[in-house]
Formats: sequence, structure tokens, C-alpha cells
Amino acid sequence: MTQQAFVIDLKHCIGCDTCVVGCKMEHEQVDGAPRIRVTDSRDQPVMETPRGSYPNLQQYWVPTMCHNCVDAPCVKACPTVALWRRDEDGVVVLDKDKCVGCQRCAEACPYEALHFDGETGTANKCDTCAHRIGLETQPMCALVCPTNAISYGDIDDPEAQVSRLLATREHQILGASSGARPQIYYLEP
Amino acid sequence: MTTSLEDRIIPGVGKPDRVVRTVCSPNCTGCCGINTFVKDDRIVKVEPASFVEPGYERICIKGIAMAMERLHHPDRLTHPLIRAGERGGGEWRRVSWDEAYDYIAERLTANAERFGPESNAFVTMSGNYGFKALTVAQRAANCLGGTILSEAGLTSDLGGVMGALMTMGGAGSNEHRDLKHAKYLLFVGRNIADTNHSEMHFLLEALHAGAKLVAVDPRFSRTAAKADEWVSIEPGTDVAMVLGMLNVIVREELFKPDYVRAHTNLPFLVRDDDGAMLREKDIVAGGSWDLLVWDEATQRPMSAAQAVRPALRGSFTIDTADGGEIACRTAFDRSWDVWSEFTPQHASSICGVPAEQIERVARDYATADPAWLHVSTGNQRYGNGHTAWRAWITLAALCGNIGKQYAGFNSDEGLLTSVLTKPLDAWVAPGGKRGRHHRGTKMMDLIVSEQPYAIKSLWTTCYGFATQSPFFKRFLAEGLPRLDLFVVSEQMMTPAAEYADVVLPVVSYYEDDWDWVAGFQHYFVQLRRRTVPPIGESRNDYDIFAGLFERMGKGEDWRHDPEQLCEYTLKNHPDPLISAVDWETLKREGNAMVPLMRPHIPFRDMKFMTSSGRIELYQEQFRAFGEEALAWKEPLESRRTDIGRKFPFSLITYKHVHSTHSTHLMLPMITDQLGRPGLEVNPADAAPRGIATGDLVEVFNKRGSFRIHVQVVDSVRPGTIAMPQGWWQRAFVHGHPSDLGHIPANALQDAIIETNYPAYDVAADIIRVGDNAA
Repeated sequence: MTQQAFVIDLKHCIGCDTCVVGCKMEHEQVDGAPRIRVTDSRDQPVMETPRGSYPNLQQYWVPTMCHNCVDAPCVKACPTVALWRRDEDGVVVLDKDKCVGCQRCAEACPYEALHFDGETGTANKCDTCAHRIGLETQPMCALVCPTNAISYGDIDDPEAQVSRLLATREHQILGASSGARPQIYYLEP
Repeated sequence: MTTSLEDRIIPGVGKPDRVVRTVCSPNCTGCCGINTFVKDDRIVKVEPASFVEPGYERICIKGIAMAMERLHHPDRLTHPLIRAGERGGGEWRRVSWDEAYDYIAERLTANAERFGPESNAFVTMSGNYGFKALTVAQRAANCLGGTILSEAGLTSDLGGVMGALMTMGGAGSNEHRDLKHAKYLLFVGRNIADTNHSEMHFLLEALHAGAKLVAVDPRFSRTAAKADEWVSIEPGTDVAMVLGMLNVIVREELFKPDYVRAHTNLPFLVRDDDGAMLREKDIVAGGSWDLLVWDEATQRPMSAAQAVRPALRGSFTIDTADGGEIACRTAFDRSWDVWSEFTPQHASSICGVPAEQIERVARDYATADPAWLHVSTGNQRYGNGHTAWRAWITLAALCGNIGKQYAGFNSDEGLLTSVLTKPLDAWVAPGGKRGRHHRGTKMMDLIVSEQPYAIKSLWTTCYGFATQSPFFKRFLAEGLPRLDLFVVSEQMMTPAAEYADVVLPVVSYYEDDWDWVAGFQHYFVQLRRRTVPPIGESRNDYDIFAGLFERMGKGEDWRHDPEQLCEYTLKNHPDPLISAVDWETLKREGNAMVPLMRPHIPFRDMKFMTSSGRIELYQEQFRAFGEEALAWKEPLESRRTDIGRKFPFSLITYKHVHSTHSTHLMLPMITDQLGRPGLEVNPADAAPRGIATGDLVEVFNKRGSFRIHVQVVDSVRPGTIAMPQGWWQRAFVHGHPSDLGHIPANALQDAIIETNYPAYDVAADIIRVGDNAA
């Protein structure tokens, strides 16, 4: 089996937003909507506020994109089968040609990872830089990250970098209670 | 590699026409290699480029925004402009280069005839690290016999450098890739995660290897967020904290006496009567200028080279040849007079760090092995900033860490300092032509007083004058009216360019060709190649001046072939590390490592570029300033002095992850992430003033005021207010943070090189003027 997944090291992430602009750059020519965002430990995207009170503070940052859930709520919500989980690599694929722009997927997504793109009238989401895969490179967010916080690969392959990280570091998924079995694994800050 | 990059499909674009390697270098100090993907002569994407040595492939939000949004920004200047109305009126006449040159030449020539050629002044800052860009205005000034206004003090980075010059003869850094071998990382005023994020991956490797990171900063910075311990310190009080640490380290005998004996000047004898160091000539008529120590083995004074075991502590009565006596103590004991007063409790009362934390950090640093101390410019942007670095150097030296692998007193590595301080004379002063040099920090006094001579024109290049200097407001009121010509070479209509008589459009470094770049943070020299054609009629800084001189009929020194000039300036550079770079390798690879002894460890031979050859922790030449021993002095606008009681906040305009100074702050990719200017205020300060997040406040002192929205947040210590720097004037409804700044002369710094602009030494008060409005 193959399950492509993001492993994001919160110890590494400095909240610099390079992944966000890298994603915009790689995909801007198509639709321009952000497919990744970075929030701080209080879920703030801009006005960062550490946890705790002076001087005992804690701060970390959380990049979020499509979690490529195994039981993806968006797939279930889509009335036109524009979204589906691809068997060969576990990636949740969006076919914009089939999308009618009803936005039910965006409502269903527990991670706010789907957005309505006004220009195309369709949904929009991270496609794990599908056009880059196979070119011996990484998704753009991973490539540009100056602190190497983002890894992408097959967690069913024990030799993959993502697997080695998961084997050696404490990690968790976001919103486990949703039951969606998301495939972004966050290493402890 | 190149083929595969060029075959890479970009969504919505297809395959790029070409991929060009160049250098990103907007004075963030990083100098990342950039692969530029070009389609139809536009940059459609950038990716990190490789180096001849792996481990340096990186890029950041600023570099991406610069490439993607600044080149074709609507405010990008494309043609020469001459003002069509009042200065600052916003009315411009688009002119040809020749018309612009004629306008400029007429005034430069008239000034030279009436007031002397030095009345035409030039200032270049570091907005572009290309060798040509950094040096060509100086060359133009020399050719005209004009005035070169120095950049060093205006950068606000000179204080620490002077502290290192005084004590060690210079500064440097262990290679950042060696961070991973350190066990204890003391980062002081160096917010690496925000401002050197290209280097952050090296620090993270160290944390994974188990190193402990301690961040000393008045703000809970991104670096502090990654640290095991945040030391929240009162702004500008590093010396007090270090004195407290030295007190602990000496009392508990945690320092390295043999190292201090061998490599510092603390064992030298100092005369009780005048604080001067004892020399052989003081005790023997006709004796040498050799400094003396007390040799415990022979119980006599002698030169350090001859002594078997120099005493580190003690009082001695030295007999002179003529039967007299000179009472002396070691420089160590003279210094201890000061350090001994600074118990951790006393230090704490000044620097605000709890006494027990001072003690713990002191013990941890002194006993960790290897212990890596890293400073940057944040802690030296105060009136006595030179003493901040001197203090940390003293700590590192007492603990035996300077010249030691994986330890050291670290600031920046790389060769930019050489570019800035070792001029290639044949290039900058063709035919031996020389202009006058004047301190940039004294620019306003020179212009306003016309003493010692008159300045009638000013030309700035690579400089965000309006946002980055503390005197633009004064310049507009008192300086500009005295000038008959103000020329700004710029890429965008900056707030300074808005007041120019002539605005000349400069290419970005993606449009420039054939320049070499030596930055900070690594020892690669890189080649800048053109990736896209110049936007509009913009020209590089060389071509701008060359065109002027040609128009003035003085073009004979300005007809270089760009490639040959690049090769010539590299091969003939006075720094042997730079001149040794192989030109063919550089042309082929786009980068080359200089022939440095690796791993690079500053002062690994324990030879210091000082008069004694040692680390000079005692500075007899500064007795007149009371700074012979490391001494605590309050910042100019300390909260503990009268001015501080009137204006109770220290205002820090800090550097941050989203922009290098003012360069990136008008780009949508940046402002989408950063929002609007925001002032951080601690809840303990906000509550009694009735200030809540989102409120509009006026920040003011006796020099100026500005209005800004507040974020009430615990990440700034009480008594300090802070905001990210670099926002343009237009981002504020009223005023600008730079209006509150100042550069009072510092006599000691002027004696060394030049007063450093104390950018963070600013007291202010705040008052609520409105609620959460747009």
C-alpha cells in the first residue's frame, strides 16, 4: 500500500509563512487562492499571541493544508464525485471539471482546507503539487521551507523520510475526533 | 540539473523559457542562491539554488515576494522623473535619461564652481549587496571630488563592531553549520528565527542533538519561542546582566584562569595613580613600551613573554630604577572593582532579569562545553552599544571560549565586511581622484550648519532614507530647503523618492548582469546574472553614473565591459580570500567557496589584531571616558533616568521575518501575512491606560509622534513597547516611528570610528486616541 502524507515538524516551524507564499507562487497562475495557511498556537493567522502569561510563554506555529483524509468528509459530501481518494497513493483528488461549486465540501471539511475559488467557480485545495511529483522534487511548501519543517512522502514505506520521522518523534493528528483519519502528522513542538 | 529544471511544468504557465541562477541579497545578510524560472521575460517562479557545497539550499518569504511582486509592482519606477511642482507635491515629468542627466549635471557643475566640488554629496546604504552597487556611488563621488557620507554609523550596526574592534581587533563567527556540535547556545539580541531564518536549520540541528538554547531578548521572539529558556531583559542593559554574570563566575571560580592569563590583557599591571598600564619604560629609563606582568615565579615585574607564571590577581609595589615606587594592581583586579559591585541582585535591579536567572545562566554558560555565544545588532542599538558586545566578549574570554571550536563569540560570518571596509582603490578612485569623507551620522548638522563646508546636493543609492534614518523629518524641514538638488536612485517611489528633484529608476538584482556578491552568513562568493530584461528604462547603478559622466564629457573612466569589470574587481580585490576565487568556477557554477581554512574558527591561532596581540578586556585608552574597565552606563533614554520617567516606555522597532527593513513591506504577499502596523504593549501597561487590542494610540516623545493600532500581548516585557520596523510612511495615519529617533554624538565612538545610530535607544509615551478603527 501507499499512503502519501505530510509530516510537519512543529519544532522546526518558525511561522515565517514562506510555505504560504511558495504555494501562491507555484499555483498562482491557475487560481490564486491560498491552499496552505499558518496559524499560531492560539489559532491566530496574523496577530500572533503566545500561550501563557508573561514571562512564562509558549508559542508554536501550525501550517495546515489538505489533510488527504482516509475517510474524507469532503468526498462524502460531494454530489458530483468531483472529489475522491485515489487508491494508488491515498491522495484526495479534486477534478475541477466535475465540480459544480456547491461548496458542500468546504462545509464538510473539518480543517477549512477547501475554499471556493470565485474565478473558476469551483472548489480549490492543495493537490500536493501533483505536477511536481515524479520530478525528483517535493511539494513547493516543503521545498521552500527554510527550516525543513515540511516533509512529504509514503508513510507505508519504512525507508521514507516521513516514516523515519514518525518512528522517532512524538506526533499527533489534528481533530482526531472527526474520525476522518487525516494524513498530516504533526511532530511535537 | 539545468535540463530537468527547465523541463519542469509550472501550472498555468507550462515549461519556462529558461532557468537562471542568481543571488537574492536585499540586506537580510543571507545571500541565498536563487533559481529563477522565466517565461516571456517575466519571472514565473523562484526555487532555492544549489551551491558547490551542500547544505545551503534555501529561500524565504521575502525572496519569493521580491521576485514575484516587486519587479512588476505598480509603483515600480520605469523612467527618469523630474519633479513638475513643489518638492513632495507628487507631480512629475517623465524625461529621457539625457534630460535627467543634463538637469543633474547643470546643478552639480554650478555647485562645484560656487561652493567647491565637495558640496555635492553621496550616500549609499546596503540595499543591494552587489559589489558594483555597493561601491559605485563612492566612485562617482571620487570622480567629482564630491563628499562621501559614510554608511557605517547610519546602519545602526557599528556599535558592536567597535566593541569587537577595541577588544579583539575584529569579529567573526564560527561556521553556522558547526552549531550542531555545541552543547549550550546563548543567543543574545540575535533573533535568528526572525532575521536569519536561512541559518535557522543549523540551529535546529543543534537542538535535535540535545543542545540547550537560551535567548536573551526584551521580546519573546520567534527564537525565544524555540528556546529552552527565555531571558527577558530590559532594553540596552546587557552590560549590567553580564557584570552580574561575571560576578558569579569569578566568585565561584568558574572562569578559566590559564586562558585569561595567556590570551587576555587582564594579568597586565595597571598603575594605581593614573590607571595606565605599567610599561618597562616606567621603571627603567630608556626602557621599552612593553607591558608588564607580575611573575609569581620570580616575584618580579617582567614582560608577559618572559614571565613564567603571570599573576592574575594582586597588588604590587614596583621598584623603579631611580629608587622610586609605583603601586600597581593587575588589570583583572581593576576590573573586579566594577564587577564586584554587580551582585546578581544589583544587576537584576537594572537589567530586570531575576537574580537567580542571572546566576543560573552564568553557571550554565561557564560550565557547558562547548558553549556557543551568538550576538547580533539588537543589543548594540543603544547609546553605549559598543559596550554591549565588549561585555559579552569579556564573558566569552573569561570562560575560555574565544578561538575555540563549537564555542566562540559569534556574530556574522562571510565577507561583506571586506567589501565594505577594504576598498579596491584602482576601482573606487580612478586615477587617484578623491572626494571628501564625512560621517553620515553627522549629515544633518553638516547640511544645516554648512560647517565645515556647504553641501548643496545629495544623491542617495540603495537607501531607504525616509524609513531607516532617524532624521528624515528634520531633513525635509531644515536640510532639503538648503539643497538645490536631491537625487534618489530607486526601484520604487519610496517616501524619500517622493521628495526628490530627480528620481532615477534602478534595476532590481534580477535585471542586473555581471556583479559578484559576498554576503554575510556564509563564505560563498556568488555571481549575479541577468534573469529578465530591465523594467522600462531602468539601469543598474553603474550605468546610471556612467551615463551621467558620459553626458558631462567625462566618460573616460566609465566605459567598462560589464563582464570584464566583474572579473577585474573580483581578481584584484584587496581581500585575498576574494581575489583567490576562481573566475571560471564562479562563471560555471554561479558560486564558489573562498579558500578558507575549514572549519573556520575566528582567532583559532589565538592571535588578536590588537596592540598587545591579546584580547584587550582592559582599555587604558578610554580612561577619560571611565571605560577602562567594562563599565555600566545607562542608555541615553533609560527608563531609570529623568527622561525615562517622563517617557516611560522603551520603544523597540525590531527586525522581523516578513521584511528586510523597508524593502518588502509594500508587497501584497507580505502584507497579506503581516496585516497592518501593530504596536505590542504588555497587558500590565495597557490596563491602567485603558488600552485594548485594536485601539489607536499615539506614540510620542519630545522629537515626534506617530499613530498606530495596539496589540495587547504578553510577548513584550512591561515597560517596553515594540513594533516590526520598515513600514513606509503611508502605512500610518499620522507620523512615523523614525520621527522619534535621534543620533546624539558619542565622543568615545567618534574616537574609534563614528557614533552608531542608537536606533532602539528611544523613550516614548503612549496615549489612547481612538478605538478599533480601520
